[in-house]
Amino acid sequence: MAKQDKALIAEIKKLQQIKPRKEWVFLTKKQIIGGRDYPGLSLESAIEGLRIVFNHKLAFASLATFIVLVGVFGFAQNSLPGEWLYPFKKVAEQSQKPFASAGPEFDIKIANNRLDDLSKVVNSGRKLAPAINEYQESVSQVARSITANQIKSNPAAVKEVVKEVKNIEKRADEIKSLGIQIDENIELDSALVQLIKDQVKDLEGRTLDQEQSEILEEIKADLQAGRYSDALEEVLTITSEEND
Amino acid sequence: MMNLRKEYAKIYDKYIDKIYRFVFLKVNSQEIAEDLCSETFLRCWEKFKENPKSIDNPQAFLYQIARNIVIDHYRQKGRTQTVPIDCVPIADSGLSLEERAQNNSDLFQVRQAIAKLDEPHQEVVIWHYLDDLSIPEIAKMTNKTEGNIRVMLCRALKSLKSEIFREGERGEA
Repeated sequence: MAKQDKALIAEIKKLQQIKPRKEWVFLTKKQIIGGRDYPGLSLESAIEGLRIVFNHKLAFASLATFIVLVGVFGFAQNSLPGEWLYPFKKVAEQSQKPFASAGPEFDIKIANNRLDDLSKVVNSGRKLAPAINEYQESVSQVARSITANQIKSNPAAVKEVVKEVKNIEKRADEIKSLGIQIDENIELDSALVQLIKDQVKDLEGRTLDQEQSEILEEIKADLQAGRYSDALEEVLTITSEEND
Repeated sequence: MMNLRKEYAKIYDKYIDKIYRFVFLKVNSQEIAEDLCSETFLRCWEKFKENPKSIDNPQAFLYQIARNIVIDHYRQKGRTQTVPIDCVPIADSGLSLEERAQNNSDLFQVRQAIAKLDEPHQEVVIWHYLDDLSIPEIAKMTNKTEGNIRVMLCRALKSLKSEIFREGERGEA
């Protein structure tokens, strides 16, 4: 290539200095593309971009947490006392309490669940202690609930409690028959004693026929002998007759 | 949509200088170059929005739009392409006032000479020497053979030399 050509090409290349005004480049870009959400143009758009990314990250994190929690609580439903997921199962159960009706029904249902767990543990041959403890705790809660809710003035509630307590005792006896040692729950016994005494006092204030008077005497005898569920069943016999 | 904007923003940033220079050297006016360049990128954006995959080579596409827009500009206004060259300052590279004056004077001469070339020769000079496009790239963009492009470049340089020489003689006279 001739020397002159090289010099000319060098001169032509100097025209690369021709550049558009920076502010025009900025404004035109903003006008054409929209100017809000593309990166690298201004601090404002950078902050906007960061905000969007941050919000998305938060949304993803929340969604991931939600999915994990749903999964954990779902799997926890099949867990048994002594397993690491078991506390989640209890939390899930307790979360329903605010929506349950007032009275000991909810706690009785939980006690039944603990008996289910205990049966499964017995059948699977795992450690019994945690399941027995859980059952005892649930029965204590039933006792506290019976005491706190003052159900003596509500015959329907008494009837329900008697039915469920009998059911719990029956199931507990079935488990005991397999050779499993479950101590009597003093708290429940105290609650039932108080409930029976209240019912006896109530019945004594009423006019009873011969048969009912005899049943009342049997109730007192059962109470003395510690046969609380039998006593409650007899209470139920009299109250049912009266309600009918 | 946001991704499209981001993608197009990258294209804009990459080619805005080249397209502006290409248009400026054709119209020799900062104001008109800005208008036509905006129009070029706007038309490209409209097409890009519809279907980004339809644009294989954004650079070639932008040059093609810019060419058409410049042609339309002259057609609509009934102007010839050899308009007087504006005295637009183009160099600000830390040179002294005297050097800058000399530099601008030299550049002015070169710009004037390029403006007097016919359109096809003008374009190959800009693309090859200013925008650093290779001869095969230019050949592909213009649907010409590489040999044709080499011949065009050779002829364009010859024309420029004689034009600059003529201008120099006029200036001395």
